[in-house]
Amino acid sequence: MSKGATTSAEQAPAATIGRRRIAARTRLDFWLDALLLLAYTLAYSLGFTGIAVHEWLGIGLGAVLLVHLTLHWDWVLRTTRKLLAPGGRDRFIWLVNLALLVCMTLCIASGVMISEVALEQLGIRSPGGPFWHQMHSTTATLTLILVPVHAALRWRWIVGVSRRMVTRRPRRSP
Amino acid sequence: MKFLRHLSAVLLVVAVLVVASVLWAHASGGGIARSDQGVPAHAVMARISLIKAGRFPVVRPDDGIHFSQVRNLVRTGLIEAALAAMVVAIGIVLRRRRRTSSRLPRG
Repeated sequence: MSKGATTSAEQAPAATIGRRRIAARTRLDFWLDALLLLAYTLAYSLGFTGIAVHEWLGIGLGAVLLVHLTLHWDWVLRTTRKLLAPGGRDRFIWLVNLALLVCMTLCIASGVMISEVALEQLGIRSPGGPFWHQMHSTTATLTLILVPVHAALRWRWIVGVSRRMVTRRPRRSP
Repeated sequence: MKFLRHLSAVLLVVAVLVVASVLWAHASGGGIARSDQGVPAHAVMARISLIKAGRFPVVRPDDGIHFSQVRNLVRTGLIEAALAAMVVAIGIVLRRRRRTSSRLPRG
């Protein structure tokens, strides 16, 4: 999420920050990130969703995450290049994002490996095994910690875009 | 075109992670396919003990959303909100400290 925030926020020139108008790309980032956060929160609440919704939500989350990462790949490359430069402010965010990428990927992959409903509905037998169960449990817990940190690290961007979305644009006088 | 290029890079990174985890599972011997056993016994036992302790709700495969378990969703939301609030608070404190130190006259 913060990757999206960074990309849109950095792409927007300083002069446009105060304007009411929001770029289509910023709006896409905002809603996609909000969707991801909501889907993740639901997917983590296994008791609420039930196993079938949990599994399908997890698979869908994986697909949307690929889009999210693709949209912010520029940020990943730019920040990775700047890592060795002195005074890199985004170093901590980069590390959190990398940890989140690893945990989320392993969580979804292990979830697919221990799937009880979704893969069966597709006619595929999941391999299962204690290793994948343990990995799913551990990475899910780590992801629950990393997701809010990832979002909160760009809270200024979130608040800024939300405020601009809520505030109505003043009508132009004829 | 750029999107496809970036997507293939992302897919490559994800594939590397997945392959690494499969190799890890293989090396540890815990990820071996079980064609006739399904969920391992110890996982079932762990789940049963959690259910008995009331920490893990009973979930049946085709039940769909369990509105009676909404507290489970609320708990997840609260954990996320608490962690996010903590990070925001730390960010504000660090920012204020940076501002204060930059305003102080040097020497």
